[in-house]
Amino acid sequence: MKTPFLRWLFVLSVALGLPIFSLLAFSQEEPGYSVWSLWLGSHYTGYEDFSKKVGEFDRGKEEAVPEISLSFSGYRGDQSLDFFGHYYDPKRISFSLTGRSKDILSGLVSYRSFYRQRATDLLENLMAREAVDQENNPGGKMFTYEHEVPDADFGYTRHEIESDFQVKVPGSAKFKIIAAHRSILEKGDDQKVVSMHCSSCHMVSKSAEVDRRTHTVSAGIEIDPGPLFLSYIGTFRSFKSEAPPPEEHYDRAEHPVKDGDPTNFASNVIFHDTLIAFGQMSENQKMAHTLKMKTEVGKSKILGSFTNTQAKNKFAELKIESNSGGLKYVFSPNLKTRFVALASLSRIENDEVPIDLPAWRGGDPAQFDYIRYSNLTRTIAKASAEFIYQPHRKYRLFFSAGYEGTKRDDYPTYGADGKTTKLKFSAGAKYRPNLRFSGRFKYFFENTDDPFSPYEQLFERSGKTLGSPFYYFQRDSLRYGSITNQPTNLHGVDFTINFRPNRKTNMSAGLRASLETNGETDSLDFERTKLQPQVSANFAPTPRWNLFGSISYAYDKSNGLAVVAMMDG
Amino acid sequence: MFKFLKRPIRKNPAGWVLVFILCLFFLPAVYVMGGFPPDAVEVGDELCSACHEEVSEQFQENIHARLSVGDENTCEACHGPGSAHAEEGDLTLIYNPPKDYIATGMNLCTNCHKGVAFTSWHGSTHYETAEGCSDCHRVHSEGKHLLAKQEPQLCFDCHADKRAQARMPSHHPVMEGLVSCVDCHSVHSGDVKYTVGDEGRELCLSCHTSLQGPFIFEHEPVNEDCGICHDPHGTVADKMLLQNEPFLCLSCHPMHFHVTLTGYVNEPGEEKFEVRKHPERGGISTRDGVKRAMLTKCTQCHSEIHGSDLPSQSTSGEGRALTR
Repeated sequence: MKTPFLRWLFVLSVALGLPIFSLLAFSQEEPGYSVWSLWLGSHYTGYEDFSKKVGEFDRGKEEAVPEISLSFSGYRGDQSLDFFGHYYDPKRISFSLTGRSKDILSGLVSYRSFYRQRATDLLENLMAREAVDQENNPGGKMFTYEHEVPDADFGYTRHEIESDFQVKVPGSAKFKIIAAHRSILEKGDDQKVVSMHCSSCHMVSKSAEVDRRTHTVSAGIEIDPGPLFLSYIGTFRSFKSEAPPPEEHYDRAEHPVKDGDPTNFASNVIFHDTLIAFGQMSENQKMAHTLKMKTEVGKSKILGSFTNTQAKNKFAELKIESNSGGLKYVFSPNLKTRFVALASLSRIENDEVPIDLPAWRGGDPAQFDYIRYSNLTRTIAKASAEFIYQPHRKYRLFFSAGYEGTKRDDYPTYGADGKTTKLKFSAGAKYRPNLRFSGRFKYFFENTDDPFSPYEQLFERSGKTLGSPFYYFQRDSLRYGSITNQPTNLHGVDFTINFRPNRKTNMSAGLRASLETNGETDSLDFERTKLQPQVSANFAPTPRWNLFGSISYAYDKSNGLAVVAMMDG
Repeated sequence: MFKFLKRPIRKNPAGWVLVFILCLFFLPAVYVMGGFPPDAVEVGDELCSACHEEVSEQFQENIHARLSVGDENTCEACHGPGSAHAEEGDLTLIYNPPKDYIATGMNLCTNCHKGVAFTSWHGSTHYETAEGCSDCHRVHSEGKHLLAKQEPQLCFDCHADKRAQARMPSHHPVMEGLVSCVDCHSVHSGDVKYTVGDEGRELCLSCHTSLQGPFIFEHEPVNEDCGICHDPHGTVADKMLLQNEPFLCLSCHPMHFHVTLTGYVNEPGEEKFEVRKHPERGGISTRDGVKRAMLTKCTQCHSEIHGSDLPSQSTSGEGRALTR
């Protein structure tokens, strides 16, 4: 199915096929039931100070807009058909169609679309010039900007189409075939900003077409012959942007201060005086195979899974391959005790890339060619154990401990050769004296040894061995220490109580709080506090009415010492 | 290996943990009966509906009733033989699945609800902490998936902290009804952090597919964990960032050295600095101008922050500044 026409034909066939199938099924002389509803209405949005951010997913027009929804639900015998469709505005439409025949065939087709308003960065902060020098001449370094489309209203519409079919093979109810499809199409335009001057930072804002297409197809089988359950799912996903990347002319390299000397700066840059593409979205593909099993042996349940994935960047011809396997063991020696153990091992390998770069200022000895290793290449091992004990029907106790180790092949973190070790612990209790009241308390703790921290970071590379003179980028090792926003310790509590005085009323209150700290780096002490209390009440006088109210408060505070640059370039 | 056992227990954290576990097993226990009442026989749906009229009427539109058309013992398929209960009217003489689940952890629903979606149900946190399927599902009702409430309110009842986050300025459109919790979370699975299928970054990439890579020029936190910069449940900062720029960036990176340049200050009577390309957009540069330019939003220049296949212009930056 290489053309949009064929893809739409496929979707249309499915959409039409299900109701026809169901109507045929309904012709049988069996007891049936159907109900449908049509809702007509309108919505109006009024605003005086429209903020695009607030209206990111819910941009209203300042007018009354008609709205309609239709639902149908029916069954005859053991065939059923359900439909729900909603038209909010031309860019927000959704429908779903579900059909089922006996317990053998079930299918779902759904569509949803919405418009996402994109904010426009006015770039107004980018207007500045370096201070005067000793002769009172204004500095050469400047920041300027320009909007090619000053009044642009950026945004795109997202369409998502999904289908899911499950068929049990007639005569063999223990063998099921699964097929699913999902497409995401995003069309519109968005703001793209690029620097186009070397001698001064001149930023250009352009309008770039958005035409992103993602297609996912999966198929598999489930076999349930008895004590052993097996399933396999194969999934293929592709992404492609049909919109060409925007282009801009990048100016001739000139030194911003030294009389615009081109020889000084031209060799500092990889390209200049040329038309460059930017904001490119490379085509990629991903293939995944997942095998799962489950079996029961006595009072134990054993679950296993294995997944192999390959992700490819078609433009750069790069590949990520991963293999991961996991086992879960659930043991219930009696009705009051359960033990759950988990273990998994994953290996991810990301291709290395040789990068060729021009030499620094021609005659200098520095060579910037390097091999791009990836911190994604890693081995991850996890293990955990959990005890659940219910000494009395009124309360239950939990206790768990876990380990997670990540070893990055080519990416050192501060103080450890690429290895991060995490230990987790949690304990809690649940109390439920009767069906009206319940309470739950949980304490959790995580200790991380050498959490992820950026290495060599975003801009200049440290540790170069060069001859004289001493270039500014060589001072990076002086500036860059161990900096991270990842905690070494995390303490948290989660507390909830629920009161249900009668079948129609429900009240709850809770608190979740956590404290994350990291005082072990040499450049930054990090601390993050979260506090989230809440109360809510719910009243359902009839099955069709549900009144509820809630108050939630979220407090999130991070403290971190920012590192001050040690030189001015 | 077991050196910790030799230390005095009052100075031994591992010992305290061991004592804690042992205490759990020696707490007073009360025997709780589970299972169907003995000696009872099936009586049929008609007799049940004679007393439970409201539930019975509602149940006729229920998927369980539809699938058991022609079966006269639909109620007793889950509640067990009802003769003793019908004769005595005693609530304890009929099997009540939710009560049994609370008391013993036995789950009748999973006898039928198997399949790949329930492969990891046993031992998952929802399995262990919820009061059973009836916490979320009303098995006699007629609603979609027999849910007690519609999403996301159902989820927010327990995960109330997410309710607050979903209303923050930057969020996935959950409250708008355009994305639902189960798009990301597998409530029956419990595989890894309840996510559907993939774990961590791979989950995010199932929708944000353009960022899959692998890219030639990478931003390492993107490989590590999207949660280093983003909170998918909602934040005050733009783009669901944990903090606004540049503070988030500065928690891992030092300030750009250009930021220490001071701005150009005009002396009284001098001409104001005007932007070269667009005089009509001219403005004034102050000492704070450079700082404002360099310390407002890093992604104005480093726009391809998630990774790129195209080199950036600086040679000393090795082309990996993620500016194009």
